[in-house]
Amino acid sequence: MNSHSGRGSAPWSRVWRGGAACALLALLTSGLFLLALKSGSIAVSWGELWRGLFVEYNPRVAAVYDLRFPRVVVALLAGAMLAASGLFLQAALRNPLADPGIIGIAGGAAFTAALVGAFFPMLYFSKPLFAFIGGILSFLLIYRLAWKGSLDPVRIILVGVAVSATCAGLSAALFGAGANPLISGLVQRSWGDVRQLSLYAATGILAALLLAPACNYLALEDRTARGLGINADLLRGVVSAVAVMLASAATAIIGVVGFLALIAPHMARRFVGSDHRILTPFCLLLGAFVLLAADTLGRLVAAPAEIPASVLMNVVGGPFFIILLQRGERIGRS
Amino acid sequence: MAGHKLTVENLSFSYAGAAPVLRNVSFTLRPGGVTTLLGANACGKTTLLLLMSKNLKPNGGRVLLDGRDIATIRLKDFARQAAVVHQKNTAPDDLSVERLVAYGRIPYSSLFRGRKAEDGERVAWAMEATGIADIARQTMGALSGGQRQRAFIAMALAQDTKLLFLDEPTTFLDMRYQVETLRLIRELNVKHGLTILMVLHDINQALMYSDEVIGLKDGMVLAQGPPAAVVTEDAILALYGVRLPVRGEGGRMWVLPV
Repeated sequence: MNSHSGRGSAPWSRVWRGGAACALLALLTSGLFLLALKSGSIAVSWGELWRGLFVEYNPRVAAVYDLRFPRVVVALLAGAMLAASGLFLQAALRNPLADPGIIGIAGGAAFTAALVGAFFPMLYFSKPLFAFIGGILSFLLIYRLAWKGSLDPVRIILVGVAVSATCAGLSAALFGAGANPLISGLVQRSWGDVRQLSLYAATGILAALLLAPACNYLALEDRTARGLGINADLLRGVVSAVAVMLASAATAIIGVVGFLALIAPHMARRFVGSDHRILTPFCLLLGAFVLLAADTLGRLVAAPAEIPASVLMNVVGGPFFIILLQRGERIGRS
Repeated sequence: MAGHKLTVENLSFSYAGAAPVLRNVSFTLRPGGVTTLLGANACGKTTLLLLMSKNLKPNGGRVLLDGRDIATIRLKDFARQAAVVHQKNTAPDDLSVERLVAYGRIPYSSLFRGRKAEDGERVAWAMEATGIADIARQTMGALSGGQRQRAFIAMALAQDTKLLFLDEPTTFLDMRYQVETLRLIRELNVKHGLTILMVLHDINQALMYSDEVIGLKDGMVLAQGPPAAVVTEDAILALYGVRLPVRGEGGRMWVLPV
Protein backbone atom coordinates (compact mmCIF):
# COMPACT_ATOMS: atom_id res chain seq x y z
CA MET A 1 0.00 0.00 0.00
CA ASN A 2 1.09 3.48 -0.74
CA SER A 3 0.23 4.69 2.70
CA HIS A 4 2.63 2.21 4.20
CA SER A 5 5.67 2.93 2.10
CA GLY A 6 8.23 4.91 4.00
CA ARG A 7 6.44 4.54 7.30
CA GLY A 8 8.77 5.71 9.98
CA SER A 9 10.37 8.36 7.84
CA ALA A 10 8.02 11.00 9.21
CA PRO A 11 8.88 10.41 12.87
CA TRP A 12 12.54 10.23 11.97
CA SER A 13 12.47 13.52 10.17
CA ARG A 14 10.83 15.00 13.22
CA VAL A 15 13.52 13.60 15.50
CA TRP A 16 16.12 14.92 13.10
CA ARG A 17 14.56 18.37 13.09
CA GLY A 18 14.34 18.39 16.87
CA GLY A 19 17.94 17.25 17.16
CA ALA A 20 19.03 19.95 14.75
CA ALA A 21 17.12 22.59 16.71
CA CYS A 22 18.78 21.43 19.94
CA ALA A 23 22.23 21.43 18.33
CA LEU A 24 21.73 24.92 16.96
CA LEU A 25 20.57 26.23 20.31
CA ALA A 26 23.49 24.52 22.06
CA LEU A 27 25.82 26.27 19.63
CA LEU A 28 24.18 29.65 20.27
CA THR A 29 24.38 29.09 24.01
CA SER A 30 28.08 28.25 23.78
CA GLY A 31 28.64 31.44 21.80
CA LEU A 32 26.75 33.43 24.41
CA PHE A 33 28.75 31.71 27.15
CA LEU A 34 32.03 32.89 25.62
CA LEU A 35 30.68 36.37 25.02
CA ALA A 36 29.44 36.59 28.60
CA LEU A 37 32.87 35.56 29.90
CA LYS A 38 34.64 38.17 27.83
CA SER A 39 32.33 41.12 28.38
CA GLY A 40 32.04 43.29 31.45
CA SER A 41 33.81 45.81 33.62
CA ILE A 42 37.11 43.95 33.41
CA ALA A 43 37.83 43.92 29.71
CA VAL A 44 39.83 41.01 28.35
CA SER A 45 40.50 40.00 24.78
CA TRP A 46 39.86 36.49 23.43
CA GLY A 47 43.62 35.86 23.36
CA GLU A 48 44.10 37.04 26.91
CA LEU A 49 41.19 34.92 28.07
CA TRP A 50 42.54 31.81 26.39
CA ARG A 51 46.12 32.30 27.59
CA GLY A 52 45.02 33.32 31.08
CA LEU A 53 42.85 30.28 31.54
CA PHE A 54 44.99 27.60 30.03
CA VAL A 55 48.55 28.88 29.60
CA GLU A 56 49.83 31.37 32.16
CA TYR A 57 48.64 33.40 35.12
CA ASN A 58 47.09 36.76 34.33
CA PRO A 59 45.62 38.72 37.27
CA ARG A 60 42.78 40.16 35.21
CA VAL A 61 41.81 36.77 33.80
CA ALA A 62 42.09 35.33 37.32
CA ALA A 63 39.60 37.95 38.49
CA VAL A 64 37.29 37.00 35.62
CA TYR A 65 37.72 33.35 36.56
CA ASP A 66 36.80 34.01 40.20
CA LEU A 67 34.00 36.52 39.70
CA ARG A 68 32.47 36.32 36.25
CA PHE A 69 32.95 32.66 35.40
CA PRO A 70 30.93 31.18 38.30
CA ARG A 71 28.19 33.73 37.75
CA VAL A 72 27.89 32.70 34.13
CA VAL A 73 27.85 29.00 35.02
CA VAL A 74 25.21 29.57 37.71
CA ALA A 75 23.09 31.50 35.22
CA LEU A 76 23.27 28.62 32.73
CA LEU A 77 22.44 25.95 35.30
CA ALA A 78 19.69 27.89 37.07
CA GLY A 79 18.15 28.96 33.76
CA ALA A 80 18.00 25.37 32.53
CA MET A 81 16.58 24.20 35.86
CA LEU A 82 13.87 26.86 36.00
CA ALA A 83 12.78 26.27 32.41
CA ALA A 84 12.55 22.50 32.91
CA SER A 85 10.69 23.09 36.15
CA GLY A 86 8.09 25.20 34.38
CA LEU A 87 7.75 22.65 31.59
CA PHE A 88 7.17 19.81 34.04
CA LEU A 89 4.74 21.79 36.17
CA GLN A 90 2.76 22.69 33.07
CA ALA A 91 2.67 19.02 32.09
CA ALA A 92 1.83 17.72 35.57
CA LEU A 93 -0.89 20.25 36.30
CA ARG A 94 -2.08 20.38 32.68
CA ASN A 95 -1.96 24.11 33.11
CA PRO A 96 -0.15 26.33 30.62
CA LEU A 97 0.04 29.11 33.21
CA ALA A 98 1.98 27.06 35.76
CA ASP A 99 5.26 28.66 36.80
CA PRO A 100 7.06 27.92 40.08
CA GLY A 101 7.29 31.66 40.73
CA ILE A 102 3.66 32.43 40.03
CA ILE A 103 2.18 29.49 41.91
CA GLY A 104 4.26 30.11 45.02
CA ILE A 105 6.79 27.27 44.99
CA ALA A 106 9.74 29.63 44.56
CA GLY A 107 8.42 31.85 47.35
CA GLY A 108 8.25 28.93 49.77
CA ALA A 109 11.68 27.71 48.71
CA ALA A 110 13.28 31.14 49.05
CA PHE A 111 11.74 31.66 52.46
CA THR A 112 12.96 28.37 53.96
CA ALA A 113 16.39 28.84 52.38
CA ALA A 114 16.65 32.29 53.93
CA LEU A 115 15.37 31.00 57.25
CA VAL A 116 18.01 28.28 57.39
CA GLY A 117 20.69 30.72 56.27
CA ALA A 118 19.78 33.18 59.02
CA PHE A 119 19.23 30.88 61.98
CA PHE A 120 21.36 27.86 61.16
CA PRO A 121 24.33 29.29 59.28
CA MET A 122 26.24 26.05 59.78
CA LEU A 123 23.73 24.44 57.43
CA TYR A 124 24.48 27.03 54.78
CA PHE A 125 25.63 24.42 52.30
CA SER A 126 22.41 22.45 52.58
CA LYS A 127 20.43 25.51 51.56
CA PRO A 128 19.07 23.92 48.36
CA LEU A 129 17.90 20.91 50.37
CA PHE A 130 15.92 23.07 52.77
CA ALA A 131 14.61 25.12 49.88
CA PHE A 132 13.38 21.85 48.37
CA ILE A 133 11.52 21.04 51.58
CA GLY A 134 9.97 24.51 51.58
CA GLY A 135 9.09 24.18 47.91
CA ILE A 136 7.41 20.81 48.42
CA LEU A 137 5.45 22.14 51.40
CA SER A 138 4.13 25.10 49.45
CA PHE A 139 3.35 22.89 46.46
CA LEU A 140 1.32 20.50 48.63
CA LEU A 141 -0.44 23.43 50.27
CA ILE A 142 -1.31 25.01 46.92
CA TYR A 143 -2.44 21.68 45.48
CA ARG A 144 -4.62 21.03 48.52
CA LEU A 145 -6.17 24.50 48.46
CA ALA A 146 -6.78 24.58 44.72
CA TRP A 147 -8.28 21.09 44.61
CA LYS A 148 -12.03 21.04 44.17
CA GLY A 149 -12.66 17.67 42.63
CA SER A 150 -10.25 18.69 39.93
CA LEU A 151 -7.56 21.33 39.58
CA ASP A 152 -8.94 24.58 38.29
CA PRO A 153 -6.16 26.25 36.28
CA VAL A 154 -7.04 29.76 37.36
CA ARG A 155 -7.73 28.81 40.97
CA ILE A 156 -4.24 27.37 41.31
CA ILE A 157 -2.80 30.69 40.13
CA LEU A 158 -4.90 32.63 42.64
CA VAL A 159 -3.90 30.36 45.53
CA GLY A 160 -0.28 30.57 44.34
CA VAL A 161 -0.36 34.36 44.37
CA ALA A 162 -1.62 34.28 47.96
CA VAL A 163 1.08 31.82 49.04
CA SER A 164 3.75 33.88 47.25
CA ALA A 165 2.59 37.05 48.94
CA THR A 166 2.58 35.36 52.35
CA CYS A 167 6.12 34.04 51.88
CA ALA A 168 7.36 37.41 50.62
CA GLY A 169 5.68 39.08 53.61
CA LEU A 170 7.26 36.68 56.06
CA SER A 171 10.68 37.19 54.46
CA ALA A 172 10.27 40.95 54.65
CA ALA A 173 9.15 40.78 58.27
CA LEU A 174 12.14 38.68 59.26
CA PHE A 175 14.86 40.18 57.14
CA GLY A 176 13.74 43.74 56.55
CA ALA A 177 11.66 45.21 53.82
CA GLY A 178 14.41 45.39 51.21
CA ALA A 179 14.64 41.76 50.30
CA ASN A 180 16.37 38.96 51.95
CA PRO A 181 20.07 39.58 52.25
CA LEU A 182 21.14 36.00 51.71
CA ILE A 183 19.81 35.62 48.24
CA SER A 184 20.81 38.32 45.86
CA GLY A 185 20.29 37.15 42.33
CA LEU A 186 23.25 36.34 40.16
CA VAL A 187 25.59 39.00 41.52
CA GLN A 188 28.59 37.70 43.46
CA ARG A 189 27.99 34.05 42.76
CA SER A 190 31.09 32.02 43.58
CA TRP A 191 32.48 28.62 42.69
CA GLY A 192 30.99 27.48 46.01
CA ASP A 193 27.56 28.28 44.61
CA VAL A 194 28.35 26.37 41.45
CA ARG A 195 29.34 23.35 43.54
CA GLN A 196 26.16 23.58 45.63
CA LEU A 197 23.94 23.95 42.62
CA SER A 198 25.58 21.40 40.35
CA LEU A 199 24.60 18.37 42.44
CA TYR A 200 20.93 19.34 42.22
CA ALA A 201 21.25 20.47 38.63
CA ALA A 202 22.80 17.17 37.56
CA THR A 203 20.25 15.04 39.44
CA GLY A 204 17.28 17.14 38.37
CA ILE A 205 18.25 17.46 34.73
CA LEU A 206 19.00 13.75 34.47
CA ALA A 207 15.63 12.94 36.05
CA ALA A 208 13.91 15.38 33.68
CA LEU A 209 15.45 13.77 30.62
CA LEU A 210 14.54 10.28 31.83
CA LEU A 211 10.96 11.31 32.60
CA ALA A 212 10.51 13.23 29.35
CA PRO A 213 8.85 10.38 27.37
CA ALA A 214 6.41 9.70 30.21
CA CYS A 215 5.43 13.38 30.36
CA ASN A 216 3.75 12.88 26.99
CA TYR A 217 1.22 10.54 28.60
CA LEU A 218 0.11 13.27 30.99
CA ALA A 219 -1.35 15.13 28.01
CA LEU A 220 -3.97 12.35 27.68
CA GLU A 221 -6.96 12.15 29.98
CA ASP A 222 -6.09 10.39 33.25
CA ARG A 223 -8.61 7.67 32.48
CA THR A 224 -7.04 7.04 29.11
CA ALA A 225 -3.57 6.87 30.65
CA ARG A 226 -4.77 4.42 33.30
CA GLY A 227 -6.34 2.34 30.55
CA LEU A 228 -2.84 2.01 29.10
CA GLY A 229 -1.50 0.71 32.39
CA ILE A 230 -0.01 4.03 33.48
CA ASN A 231 -0.54 5.10 37.07
CA ALA A 232 -1.31 8.71 36.19
CA ASP A 233 -1.43 9.97 39.78
CA LEU A 234 1.96 8.49 40.61
CA LEU A 235 3.47 9.84 37.41
CA ARG A 236 2.05 13.29 38.11
CA GLY A 237 3.51 13.17 41.63
CA VAL A 238 6.99 12.22 40.42
CA VAL A 239 6.99 14.81 37.63
CA SER A 240 5.82 17.48 40.08
CA ALA A 241 8.49 16.52 42.62
CA VAL A 242 11.22 16.86 40.01
CA ALA A 243 9.82 20.24 38.97
CA VAL A 244 9.72 21.46 42.57
CA MET A 245 13.25 20.20 43.22
CA LEU A 246 14.64 21.97 40.15
CA ALA A 247 12.91 25.25 40.96
CA SER A 248 13.74 25.14 44.68
CA ALA A 249 17.43 24.42 44.26
CA ALA A 250 17.78 27.17 41.64
CA THR A 251 15.86 29.60 43.83
CA ALA A 252 18.05 28.79 46.86
CA ILE A 253 21.06 30.03 44.93
CA ILE A 254 19.78 32.90 42.79
CA GLY A 255 16.53 33.91 44.48
CA VAL A 256 13.14 34.21 42.87
CA VAL A 257 13.31 34.78 39.12
CA GLY A 258 9.81 35.10 37.78
CA PHE A 259 8.42 34.17 34.37
CA LEU A 260 11.46 32.38 32.92
CA ALA A 261 9.84 29.05 33.77
CA LEU A 262 6.65 30.25 32.13
CA ILE A 263 8.09 31.72 28.97
CA ALA A 264 10.77 29.18 28.06
CA PRO A 265 8.40 26.20 27.68
CA HIS A 266 5.98 28.25 25.57
CA MET A 267 8.75 29.46 23.30
CA ALA A 268 10.14 25.94 23.11
CA ARG A 269 6.77 24.49 22.07
CA ARG A 270 6.62 27.05 19.27
CA PHE A 271 9.95 25.83 17.96
CA VAL A 272 9.84 22.06 18.40
CA GLY A 273 6.22 21.10 19.14
CA SER A 274 4.77 19.32 22.15
CA ASP A 275 6.68 16.03 22.16
CA HIS A 276 8.52 16.07 25.50
CA ARG A 277 11.28 13.82 24.23
CA ILE A 278 12.52 16.74 22.14
CA LEU A 279 10.85 19.52 24.08
CA THR A 280 12.65 18.75 27.35
CA PRO A 281 16.27 19.04 26.11
CA PHE A 282 15.34 22.04 23.99
CA CYS A 283 13.65 23.72 26.92
CA LEU A 284 16.68 23.12 29.18
CA LEU A 285 18.94 24.78 26.62
CA LEU A 286 16.52 27.61 26.02
CA GLY A 287 16.25 28.36 29.74
CA ALA A 288 20.02 28.44 30.06
CA PHE A 289 20.28 30.71 27.05
CA VAL A 290 17.56 33.14 28.11
CA LEU A 291 18.73 33.58 31.71
CA LEU A 292 22.36 34.06 30.67
CA ALA A 293 21.28 36.49 27.95
CA ALA A 294 19.20 38.46 30.46
CA ASP A 295 22.06 38.53 32.97
CA THR A 296 24.66 39.53 30.40
CA LEU A 297 22.42 42.20 28.94
CA GLY A 298 21.71 43.50 32.43
CA ARG A 299 25.44 43.75 33.11
CA LEU A 300 26.29 45.54 29.89
CA VAL A 301 23.38 47.77 29.02
CA ALA A 302 23.77 50.31 31.83
CA ALA A 303 27.37 49.61 32.93
CA PRO A 304 28.75 50.21 35.48
CA ALA A 305 25.26 49.88 37.01
CA GLU A 306 23.60 46.48 36.72
CA ILE A 307 20.02 45.52 35.99
CA PRO A 308 19.30 42.20 37.72
CA ALA A 309 18.22 39.38 35.43
CA SER A 310 15.09 38.91 37.52
CA VAL A 311 14.06 42.52 36.83
CA LEU A 312 14.54 42.04 33.09
CA MET A 313 12.56 38.81 33.23
CA ASN A 314 9.72 40.59 35.02
CA VAL A 315 9.64 43.38 32.46
CA VAL A 316 9.39 40.88 29.60
CA GLY A 317 7.44 38.19 31.45
CA GLY A 318 4.61 40.29 32.87
CA PRO A 319 3.13 41.27 29.52
CA PHE A 320 3.74 37.76 28.20
CA PHE A 321 1.73 36.34 31.10
CA ILE A 322 -1.11 38.76 30.36
CA ILE A 323 -1.18 37.64 26.73
CA LEU A 324 -1.40 34.01 27.81
CA LEU A 325 -4.23 34.81 30.21
CA GLN A 326 -6.06 36.61 27.43
CA ARG A 327 -5.73 33.74 25.04
CA GLY A 328 -6.79 31.27 27.73
CA GLU A 329 -4.93 28.68 25.75
CA ARG A 330 -4.76 25.06 26.88
CA ILE A 331 -2.37 22.28 26.27
CA GLY A 332 -3.96 19.64 24.06
CA ARG A 333 -7.41 20.91 23.33
CA SER A 334 -9.96 18.14 23.17
CA MET B 1 -13.19 -18.75 24.44
CA ALA B 2 -10.96 -18.24 27.40
CA GLY B 3 -9.54 -14.98 28.58
CA HIS B 4 -12.57 -12.78 28.64
CA LYS B 5 -15.28 -13.85 30.96
CA LEU B 6 -16.30 -10.76 32.84
CA THR B 7 -18.66 -10.95 35.79
CA VAL B 8 -19.95 -8.15 37.96
CA GLU B 9 -20.93 -9.30 41.44
CA ASN B 10 -23.14 -7.29 43.82
CA LEU B 11 -21.42 -4.07 42.85
CA SER B 12 -22.23 -0.98 44.91
CA PHE B 13 -20.76 2.45 44.64
CA SER B 14 -21.31 6.00 45.82
CA TYR B 15 -19.17 9.09 45.38
CA ALA B 16 -17.98 10.52 48.70
CA GLY B 17 -20.89 11.91 50.69
CA ALA B 18 -23.42 11.44 47.87
CA ALA B 19 -26.33 9.09 47.33
CA PRO B 20 -25.42 5.64 45.97
CA VAL B 21 -24.89 5.55 42.21
CA LEU B 22 -24.91 1.77 41.88
CA ARG B 23 -26.83 -0.63 44.09
CA ASN B 24 -26.07 -4.31 44.10
CA VAL B 25 -25.43 -4.64 40.38
CA SER B 26 -24.74 -8.15 39.08
CA PHE B 27 -24.41 -9.51 35.56
CA THR B 28 -22.12 -11.53 33.33
CA LEU B 29 -21.02 -10.22 29.96
CA ARG B 30 -21.78 -12.62 27.16
CA PRO B 31 -18.38 -13.85 25.97
CA GLY B 32 -17.81 -13.06 22.32
CA GLY B 33 -20.87 -10.84 22.18
CA VAL B 34 -21.76 -7.18 21.98
CA THR B 35 -23.52 -5.94 25.09
CA THR B 36 -25.05 -2.48 25.35
CA LEU B 37 -25.79 -0.61 28.54
CA LEU B 38 -28.97 1.44 28.28
CA GLY B 39 -30.45 3.85 30.75
CA ALA B 40 -31.43 7.44 31.38
CA ASN B 41 -28.91 10.15 32.15
CA ALA B 42 -27.18 9.74 35.51
CA CYS B 43 -28.37 6.15 35.96
CA GLY B 44 -24.80 5.02 36.62
CA LYS B 45 -23.70 3.75 33.19
CA THR B 46 -20.42 5.61 33.03
CA THR B 47 -19.72 4.93 36.70
CA LEU B 48 -20.23 1.23 36.05
CA LEU B 49 -17.77 1.37 33.18
CA LEU B 50 -15.23 3.18 35.37
CA LEU B 51 -15.60 0.52 38.07
CA MET B 52 -15.15 -2.22 35.49
CA SER B 53 -11.96 -0.61 34.17
CA LYS B 54 -10.16 -0.02 37.49
CA ASN B 55 -10.74 3.72 37.39
CA LEU B 56 -12.88 3.61 40.52
CA LYS B 57 -12.94 1.26 43.47
CA PRO B 58 -16.30 -0.26 44.47
CA ASN B 59 -17.72 0.26 47.94
CA GLY B 60 -19.08 -3.26 47.85
CA GLY B 61 -18.98 -6.26 45.56
CA ARG B 62 -16.39 -6.99 42.93
CA VAL B 63 -15.64 -7.33 39.25
CA LEU B 64 -14.24 -10.69 38.16
CA LEU B 65 -12.19 -11.30 35.05
CA ASP B 66 -12.00 -15.04 34.42
CA GLY B 67 -12.81 -15.56 38.07
CA ARG B 68 -10.18 -13.17 39.38
CA ASP B 69 -11.06 -9.94 41.20
CA ILE B 70 -9.75 -7.11 39.02
CA ALA B 71 -8.70 -5.23 42.16
CA THR B 72 -5.88 -7.78 42.46
CA ILE B 73 -4.76 -7.37 38.84
CA ARG B 74 -1.99 -4.85 38.19
CA LEU B 75 -2.98 -1.86 36.06
CA LYS B 76 -0.54 -2.87 33.35
CA ASP B 77 -1.71 -6.49 33.23
CA PHE B 78 -5.31 -5.36 33.15
CA ALA B 79 -4.47 -3.10 30.19
CA ARG B 80 -3.44 -6.22 28.26
CA GLN B 81 -6.83 -7.82 28.86
CA ALA B 82 -9.31 -4.95 28.60
CA ALA B 83 -9.18 -1.73 26.61
CA VAL B 84 -11.44 1.27 27.12
CA VAL B 85 -12.46 4.06 24.77
CA HIS B 86 -13.73 6.85 26.98
CA GLN B 87 -16.24 9.45 26.02
CA LYS B 88 -13.86 12.35 26.46
CA ASN B 89 -10.51 12.06 24.78
CA THR B 90 -7.65 14.51 24.77
CA ALA B 91 -4.44 14.50 22.77
CA PRO B 92 -1.96 17.20 21.77
CA ASP B 93 -2.85 18.74 18.42
CA ASP B 94 0.57 18.01 16.96
CA LEU B 95 0.63 14.33 17.93
CA SER B 96 0.58 12.09 14.87
CA VAL B 97 -2.18 9.51 14.53
CA GLU B 98 0.40 6.76 14.31
CA ARG B 99 2.06 7.83 17.57
CA LEU B 100 -1.27 7.93 19.34
CA VAL B 101 -2.16 4.44 18.15
CA ALA B 102 1.30 3.25 19.19
CA TYR B 103 0.49 4.37 22.76
CA GLY B 104 -1.70 1.27 22.76
CA ARG B 105 1.49 -0.76 23.03
CA ILE B 106 2.51 0.86 26.33
CA PRO B 107 1.09 -2.05 28.38
CA TYR B 108 3.63 -4.29 26.66
CA SER B 109 6.59 -1.97 27.04
CA SER B 110 9.13 -1.84 29.80
CA LEU B 111 12.23 0.12 30.61
CA PHE B 112 14.48 -2.71 29.53
CA ARG B 113 12.69 -3.82 26.43
CA GLY B 114 12.79 -1.86 23.22
CA ARG B 115 10.14 -1.82 20.54
CA LYS B 116 9.47 -5.17 18.99
CA ALA B 117 8.43 -5.89 15.43
CA GLU B 118 5.21 -7.24 16.90
CA ASP B 119 4.36 -3.76 18.23
CA GLY B 120 4.66 -2.20 14.79
CA GLU B 121 2.59 -4.96 13.22
CA ARG B 122 -0.16 -4.62 15.78
CA VAL B 123 -0.26 -0.83 15.35
CA ALA B 124 -0.43 -1.19 11.56
CA TRP B 125 -3.18 -3.78 11.93
CA ALA B 126 -5.19 -1.55 14.29
CA MET B 127 -5.00 1.36 11.86
CA GLU B 128 -5.97 -0.91 8.98
CA ALA B 129 -8.92 -2.36 10.88
CA THR B 130 -10.26 1.09 11.74
CA GLY B 131 -9.60 2.48 8.27
CA ILE B 132 -7.15 5.17 9.30
CA ALA B 133 -3.98 3.76 7.72
CA ASP B 134 -4.02 6.46 5.07
CA ILE B 135 -4.05 9.25 7.65
CA ALA B 136 -1.35 7.72 9.88
CA ARG B 137 0.93 10.71 9.38
CA GLN B 138 -1.64 13.37 10.00
CA THR B 139 -1.75 15.16 13.31
CA MET B 140 -4.64 14.81 15.73
CA GLY B 141 -5.50 18.49 15.41
CA ALA B 142 -6.24 18.03 11.71
CA LEU B 143 -8.78 15.20 12.10
CA SER B 144 -12.56 15.23 11.87
CA GLY B 145 -14.64 14.00 14.81
CA GLY B 146 -15.12 10.59 13.21
CA GLN B 147 -11.44 10.20 12.45
CA ARG B 148 -10.52 11.17 16.01
CA GLN B 149 -12.90 8.55 17.37
CA ARG B 150 -11.38 5.96 15.06
CA ALA B 151 -7.88 6.88 16.16
CA PHE B 152 -8.78 6.30 19.80
CA ILE B 153 -10.51 3.03 18.95
CA ALA B 154 -7.37 2.02 17.03
CA MET B 155 -5.28 2.82 20.11
CA ALA B 156 -7.50 0.51 22.16
CA LEU B 157 -7.19 -2.20 19.50
CA ALA B 158 -3.42 -1.91 19.56
CA GLN B 159 -3.64 -3.05 23.18
CA ASP B 160 -4.51 -6.48 21.78
CA THR B 161 -7.19 -7.28 24.35
CA LYS B 162 -10.13 -9.65 24.33
CA LEU B 163 -12.38 -7.10 25.98
CA LEU B 164 -13.29 -3.69 24.64
CA PHE B 165 -15.35 -1.11 26.54
CA LEU B 166 -16.73 1.96 24.79
CA ASP B 167 -18.46 4.83 26.56
CA GLU B 168 -20.92 6.52 24.21
CA PRO B 169 -18.76 6.03 21.12
CA THR B 170 -21.25 7.85 18.89
CA THR B 171 -22.30 10.80 21.01
CA PHE B 172 -20.32 13.61 19.41
CA LEU B 173 -20.53 12.30 15.86
CA ASP B 174 -22.87 13.13 13.01
CA MET B 175 -25.06 10.43 11.50
CA ARG B 176 -22.59 9.07 8.98
CA TYR B 177 -19.77 8.68 11.52
CA GLN B 178 -22.17 7.17 14.05
CA VAL B 179 -23.11 4.44 11.60
CA GLU B 180 -19.50 3.93 10.53
CA THR B 181 -18.36 3.61 14.12
CA LEU B 182 -21.08 1.13 15.04
CA ARG B 183 -20.40 -0.98 11.93
CA LEU B 184 -16.74 -0.97 12.85
CA ILE B 185 -17.56 -2.13 16.38
CA ARG B 186 -19.72 -4.94 15.00
CA GLU B 187 -16.98 -5.93 12.60
CA LEU B 188 -14.39 -6.04 15.38
CA ASN B 189 -16.70 -8.34 17.26
CA VAL B 190 -17.52 -10.64 14.36
CA LYS B 191 -14.18 -10.75 12.55
CA HIS B 192 -11.81 -10.48 15.47
CA GLY B 193 -13.80 -12.06 18.26
CA LEU B 194 -13.71 -9.18 20.71
CA THR B 195 -16.15 -9.19 23.60
CA ILE B 196 -17.62 -5.71 23.62
CA LEU B 197 -19.46 -3.65 26.19
CA MET B 198 -20.69 -0.23 25.20
CA VAL B 199 -22.84 2.54 26.55
CA LEU B 200 -25.32 3.96 24.03
CA HIS B 201 -27.98 6.63 24.21
CA ASP B 202 -29.79 5.59 21.06
CA ILE B 203 -32.13 2.64 21.60
CA ASN B 204 -32.33 1.89 17.90
CA GLN B 205 -28.56 1.63 17.64
CA ALA B 206 -28.65 -0.72 20.61
CA LEU B 207 -31.31 -2.82 18.90
CA MET B 208 -29.34 -3.04 15.67
CA TYR B 209 -25.86 -3.63 16.95
CA SER B 210 -26.10 -5.63 20.18
CA ASP B 211 -26.47 -9.28 21.09
CA GLU B 212 -27.56 -8.30 24.55
CA VAL B 213 -28.73 -5.20 26.32
CA ILE B 214 -28.62 -4.35 30.00
CA GLY B 215 -31.13 -1.78 31.22
CA LEU B 216 -29.91 0.27 34.15
CA LYS B 217 -32.26 2.30 36.29
CA ASP B 218 -31.31 4.24 39.44
CA GLY B 219 -28.15 2.19 39.83
CA MET B 220 -29.88 -1.19 39.52
CA VAL B 221 -30.14 -3.69 36.69
CA LEU B 222 -33.72 -3.63 35.45
CA ALA B 223 -33.37 -6.17 32.67
CA GLN B 224 -30.77 -8.12 30.77
CA GLY B 225 -31.20 -10.19 27.64
CA PRO B 226 -31.44 -10.14 23.86
CA PRO B 227 -32.64 -6.74 22.61
CA ALA B 228 -35.88 -8.08 21.15
CA ALA B 229 -36.84 -9.50 24.53
CA VAL B 230 -35.74 -6.58 26.67
CA VAL B 231 -36.75 -3.56 24.61
CA THR B 232 -40.49 -3.34 25.08
CA GLU B 233 -42.77 -0.35 25.49
CA ASP B 234 -43.04 -1.11 29.20
CA ALA B 235 -39.29 -1.44 29.62
CA ILE B 236 -38.71 1.88 27.85
CA LEU B 237 -41.27 3.50 30.12
CA ALA B 238 -39.54 2.07 33.17
CA LEU B 239 -36.03 3.02 31.97
CA TYR B 240 -36.63 6.47 30.53
CA GLY B 241 -40.02 7.47 31.96
CA VAL B 242 -41.60 7.97 28.55
CA ARG B 243 -43.93 5.76 26.51
CA LEU B 244 -42.73 5.21 22.94
CA PRO B 245 -44.05 2.95 20.19
CA VAL B 246 -41.95 -0.14 19.43
CA ARG B 247 -42.38 -1.49 15.89
CA GLY B 248 -41.05 -4.55 14.13
CA GLU B 249 -40.85 -5.78 10.58
CA GLY B 250 -38.95 -8.64 8.99
CA GLY B 251 -37.08 -9.56 12.14
CA ARG B 252 -35.93 -5.99 12.69
CA MET B 253 -37.21 -3.82 15.48
CA TRP B 254 -37.18 -0.13 16.03
CA VAL B 255 -38.42 2.47 18.44
CA LEU B 256 -39.87 5.76 17.33
CA PRO B 257 -38.22 8.21 19.67
CA VAL B 258 -40.71 10.99 18.96
